[in-house]
Amino acid sequence: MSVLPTSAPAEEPAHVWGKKLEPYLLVLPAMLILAFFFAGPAIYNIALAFQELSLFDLGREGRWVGFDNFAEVLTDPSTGQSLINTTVWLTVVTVVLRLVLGLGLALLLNATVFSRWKLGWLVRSLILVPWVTPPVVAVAAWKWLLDARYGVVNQFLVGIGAIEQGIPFLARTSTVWGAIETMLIWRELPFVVITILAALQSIPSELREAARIDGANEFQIQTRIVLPLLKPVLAVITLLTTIWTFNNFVYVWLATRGGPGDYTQVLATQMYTTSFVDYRMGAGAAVGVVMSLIMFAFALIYFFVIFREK
Amino acid sequence: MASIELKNLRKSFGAFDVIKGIDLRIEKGEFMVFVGPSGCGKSTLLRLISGLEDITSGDMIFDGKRVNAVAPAKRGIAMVFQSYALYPHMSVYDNMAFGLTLERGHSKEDIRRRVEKAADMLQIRPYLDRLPKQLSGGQRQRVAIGRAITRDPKVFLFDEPLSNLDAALRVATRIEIARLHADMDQVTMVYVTHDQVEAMTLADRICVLRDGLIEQVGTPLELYEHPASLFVAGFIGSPKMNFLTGPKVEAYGCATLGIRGEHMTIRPDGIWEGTVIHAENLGSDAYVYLDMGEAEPVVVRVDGTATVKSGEVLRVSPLQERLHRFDAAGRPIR
Ligand SMILES: Nc1ncnc2c1ncn2[C@@H]1O[C@H](COP(=O)(O)OP(=O)(O)OP(=O)(O)O)[C@@H](O)[C@H]1O
Ligand SMILES: [Mg+2]
Repeated sequence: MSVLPTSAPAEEPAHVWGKKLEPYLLVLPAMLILAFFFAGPAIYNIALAFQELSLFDLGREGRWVGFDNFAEVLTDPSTGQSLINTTVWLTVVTVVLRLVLGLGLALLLNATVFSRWKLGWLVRSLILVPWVTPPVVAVAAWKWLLDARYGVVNQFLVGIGAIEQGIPFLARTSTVWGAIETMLIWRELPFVVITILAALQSIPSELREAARIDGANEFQIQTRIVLPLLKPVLAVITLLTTIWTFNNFVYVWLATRGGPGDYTQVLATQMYTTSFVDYRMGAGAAVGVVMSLIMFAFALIYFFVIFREK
Repeated sequence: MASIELKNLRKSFGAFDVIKGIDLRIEKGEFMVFVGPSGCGKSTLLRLISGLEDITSGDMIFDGKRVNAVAPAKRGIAMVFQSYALYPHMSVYDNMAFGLTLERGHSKEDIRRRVEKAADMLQIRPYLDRLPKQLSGGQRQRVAIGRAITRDPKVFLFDEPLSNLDAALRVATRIEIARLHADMDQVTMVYVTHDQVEAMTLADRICVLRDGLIEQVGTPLELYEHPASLFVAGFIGSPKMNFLTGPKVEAYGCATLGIRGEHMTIRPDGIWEGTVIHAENLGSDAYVYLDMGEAEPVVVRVDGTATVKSGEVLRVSPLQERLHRFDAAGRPIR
């Protein structure tokens, strides 16, 4: 058999170029919008982090100060506190609780007894109510519920004699994080429940039946068949909720503005306060950059650990 | 190692009766095949035997003991699902070993030995470390069967195990199952299928179901030669038995006359006349579809070498001793 030399490709006609450009042209509008609304501000923010600029200088060029802003932010003792608050109290606690509660609720809602129950659909729909409530409204409602004098929670606790006087939950250091976490979890839990529920429903019933025949009890079916199959979706939920929560501003800001004192200050509120209360835009931007870097590092490590097997 | 007895067994989903009172005895070591049209309750009946579905009323008896309330794992059964139902996150080895690891009293060595023995029987030993998604459909089905064998069951249940395989693989796996049955002659097998060729070739006895009730139980030949109703006559055999009605059959003293395509011959002095609509040549033989004025074309099997043209008028004669006569209610007249 003879091997023919492949002829060098002739000059490509114009329509081939058109074909090659087509995909780029199609994504161009989306890219432009992204560049304008996302990359633009992000780059501006990074540039800002290296300048000294107060609100009164806006419109003028700031003064370039190198890493001064970062040095200041990183040596400020309150940053360390904010970082701990953000990581532990705002993020880790609520992400773990959401995963545990979400998994439990989803397993419950997916149970056969539940699907046979006539009102099952109603409960499933009710689960969505917090998720469709805007966070601002959710926090306002919870603040009202937790109000020391008029709040339903305190009236109830006083009513059953558990306490003598209403507790100002958001003003006490012992209760304030619990209160904020409650609001956040209440609002954000449905996302976790619904996502896990969808994953559960995509597990074929034959797998559970095969396991039953193999002699697995209900607990073994959940731990040895269902949970391993949920791993991918749990990994994604953990990644998303961690990033969303770490960067979250509304719950702490609307509930306490970082108080009492700056007891519940988190990085997002510190950034806001620095920029728009102290009017030190450069230092505020530096906090933002630090937050992005932490989340970027987190995502990298996370991907490395979780998806290493593949 | 187990005989299975169903006594007036019924199953309803809510107000909807699916199994409407079934009495059946499956002997130990027997290969019983359930056939019937879609939705007649074959899978439900199999699931009642497995214990995956609760019995509404009646008795399920294994080896003389009532097992209505016995959990599936305690019945000594293994089941092969149409979708294979392999655990996707476990290797082939772990899939096959799962049941044994859950039971107490099996050493690692013992488990390994049993898994490997089953793997050898089905020639899946090279795949033991793979995940199910790394296997072809046929290999997956063999793993599913292997998983069942590893449990060393007394009763083997199959729900349409071959229907996701292509034609060649279906034949190969069918032969494999037949061999398995021969090797494990103590194990009772219950097999659900749509495919009447599978039913005819595998079964010791076939149970034809219709609408939640048994239409007939018998050996493949009994069903083929002495169908207990028009329904069974039309269901068993391929191609379908031809049914003739009207003036043609008056002479035979019945409402419907059944005759299989293989029991008719084309001959110039044939007693019936028909116009060729279409002919299918399968090589070994050919099926000629004749318009004889019946609701459906009449199929006649002829030799593969015969040449027949559409529009041709042919005369055919049935083998008199192979005629099936049915009364107006669809019951056979003997
Ligand atoms: N869990 C269930 N709930 C309600 N109805 C059901 C349930 N399972 C089966 N049925 C109904 O019971 C009837 C028999 O179902 P089954 O699956 O046993 O049929 P089948 O003979 O196996 O059919 P096929 O050949 O299509 O698999 C069907 O009408 C089906 O709709
Ligand atoms: Mg079925």
